[in-house]
Amino acid sequence: MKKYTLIKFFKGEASEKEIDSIISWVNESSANKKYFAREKALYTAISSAKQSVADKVVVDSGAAKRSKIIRYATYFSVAAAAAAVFFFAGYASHGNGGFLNSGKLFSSDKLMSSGSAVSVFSHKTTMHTLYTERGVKGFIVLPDSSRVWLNSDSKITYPEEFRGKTRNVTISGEAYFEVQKDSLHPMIVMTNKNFSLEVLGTSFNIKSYDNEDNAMATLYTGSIKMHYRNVNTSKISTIKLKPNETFNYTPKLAEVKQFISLKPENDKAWKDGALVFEDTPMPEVIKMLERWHGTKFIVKNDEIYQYKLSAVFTSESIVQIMEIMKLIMPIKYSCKNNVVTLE
Amino acid sequence: MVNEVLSVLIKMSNYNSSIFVPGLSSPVERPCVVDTDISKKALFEKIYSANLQRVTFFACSYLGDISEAQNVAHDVFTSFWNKMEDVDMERAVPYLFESAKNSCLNALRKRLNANKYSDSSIKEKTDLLNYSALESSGFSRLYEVDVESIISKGMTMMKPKVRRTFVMSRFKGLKNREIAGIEGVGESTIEARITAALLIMKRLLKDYID
Repeated sequence: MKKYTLIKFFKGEASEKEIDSIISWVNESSANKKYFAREKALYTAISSAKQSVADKVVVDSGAAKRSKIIRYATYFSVAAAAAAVFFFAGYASHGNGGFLNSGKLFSSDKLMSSGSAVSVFSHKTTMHTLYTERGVKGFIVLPDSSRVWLNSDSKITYPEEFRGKTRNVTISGEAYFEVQKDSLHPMIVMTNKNFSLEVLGTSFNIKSYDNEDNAMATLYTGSIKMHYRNVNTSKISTIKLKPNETFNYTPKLAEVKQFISLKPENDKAWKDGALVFEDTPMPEVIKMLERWHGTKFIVKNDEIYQYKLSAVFTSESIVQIMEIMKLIMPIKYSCKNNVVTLE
Repeated sequence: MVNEVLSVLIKMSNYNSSIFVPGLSSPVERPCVVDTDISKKALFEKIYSANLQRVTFFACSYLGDISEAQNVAHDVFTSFWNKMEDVDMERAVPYLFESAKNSCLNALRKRLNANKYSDSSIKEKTDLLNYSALESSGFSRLYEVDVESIISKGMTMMKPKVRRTFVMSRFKGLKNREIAGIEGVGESTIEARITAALLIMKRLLKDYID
């Protein structure tokens, strides 16, 4: 077994033939298996240190790109003093309230000691990831000037620069995209549920939370194609969406529904700071409130799950929302330590 | 849970006030503030910032997918936070990597069992090899050392041509073909030089791996 063949595999550059030869060599003896494991572990450890060593060794670090540490992009910039006031008042109404200084993002970059994003096999492309936690929303401009709004508890991963035939980003959670038109380089939005969206120049809302069984997307302008893997046949199917159409995808049931949305603007209402419930069953209401405000709900009376809510909230605090809900349905609530108990 | 961890980190790393005064100066406006132990957070943050990149890189090296790797890192640090009282802080780093190893093994096992590989079986074969390598590895001590300074030391031990080639391949990200062109030698010469460089590194690291 040529040493360099193993290195090619670790780099991700080995051909299928070479991989086959490694597999049969590893299977020959447990000594080979152990040797292979050691080589991989050593290679990984050596490679992981590459970034910070580059800083210490005096070389032209042209390709050792430092990724920009993404500071907090505020949807609204609010003075610290004002923030304290808003804090007490809950979410004071302010036109597009609801974002306030919750347009906070934090980038995993910020917390890494070497100040660089995690870069993988490609030495040249650094990937950025932005997370919003519950109770926080965010906004980011991608390298191609496309704009993305992130709802709470969402994540987007994108490269520092879009190279190649497609512009690839990965999301989980909920996001509203306004994609810059570029017919030669479609944007591919990949998700955690084995489906992806191919878009040219479009605006759409996509929702695919890890802790939910189904995902949906609503198209506003332009056109998108949704590619998904059929769990049963393992083949990839494609559906095309027209403006104001929504698709709803449940991977577990291999179900895809495509329909014209009666009120498509409800799906993106969160972006403008509104929480819209229309005959929404309580389990869903609670889930959305937990995300929106970052509070946790405990329901003591199971009957509550049967109720449905129709209401629109913009910038009310959780307490104000509970007061309103108390008026329209027979519930009692108490709030302590960011936990709301309903009975 | 992860979000609580992450929110702790926002507060810790970006705001000077490390004391929670309910109702004031909390950057994330929550109506009720949770009281937490300051020293535990400080220790966690120190370990987190020193190891997040390495754990993520490690996971990505075996899983080949950055967002899965990030999920592994998330899980590792979340469970670390939850188990902090029970873990000997001297052994924190090996704990993190053992945790990451198990998380990756689970992820690979899931992939291999689900058998949803599309056209090319290169992905499947790669997963198989990575699974085999991972389960046979005893590497957690590797990350206790300052790999960076070992590499710097190793580089001083290399012959000039080897070091030059190593730098071009590692830090400038040049392909072997490109380096061969620059150096005016054949590609196999470059491969040999890189092998020699890695051999030096491995000799220095050999005491830290089983």
